[in-house]
Amino acid sequence: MPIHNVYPNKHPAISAPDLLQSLGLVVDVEISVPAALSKALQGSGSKVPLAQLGDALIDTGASCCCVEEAALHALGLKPIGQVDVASPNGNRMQNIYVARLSFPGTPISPLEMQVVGVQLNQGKTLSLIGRDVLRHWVLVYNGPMGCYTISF
Amino acid sequence: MNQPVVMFEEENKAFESRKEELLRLCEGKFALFKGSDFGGVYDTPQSAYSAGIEKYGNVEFLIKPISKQPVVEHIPTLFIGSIGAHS
Repeated sequence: MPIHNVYPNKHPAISAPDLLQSLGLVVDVEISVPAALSKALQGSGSKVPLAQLGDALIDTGASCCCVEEAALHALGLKPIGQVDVASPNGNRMQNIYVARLSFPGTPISPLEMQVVGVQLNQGKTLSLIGRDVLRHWVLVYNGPMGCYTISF
Repeated sequence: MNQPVVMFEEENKAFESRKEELLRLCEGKFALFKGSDFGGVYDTPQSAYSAGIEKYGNVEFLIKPISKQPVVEHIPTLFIGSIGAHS
């Protein structure tokens, strides 16, 4: 199994464990159109939208992956369904899309998958990586060392 | 979080009209609908998406899991103020 070790960017004033606690499990992510759409766009002579770049937060509390809906709209993606998302005030319906997620600078293979479109409104955070992906990974949070390891 | 507009009414109606047959024959797979048009059954949402793009183009079409129970996702981070929670 390939292993990917992640050390948050060094910050002279903050220790690695503090930084990891503060930032959480963050990896660079690139959100782009699925291969089928890319091929169709190229076939019709249309321009393939540029990938959206940002951070993905690994969220063990999330049952599924989510992507900022504005980024999905910027890619020209259309919803392929809707799903109930449980909240303390009852269920909320959110749109579902198919998107391609890749993780630049890591050996993690790109994923083409269903994602829930959400409004994260959180600057660079474009995506939450949920348990639908984590079910295929081994994830080790090393608090004392201030790093984490993904094996997949 | 803003609620999206309810979509796929015609597609959901078409799914409901075939649901029993689909459950009997291919539970666990994914059905494709555009309006009342049934676009077939696929093993994965990705393969249904590829078929939908080929059949209908980059427009809204429904990919429905063939399942007795409706799917409910849990994303507490969105609602507890950790990230972007707003109504």
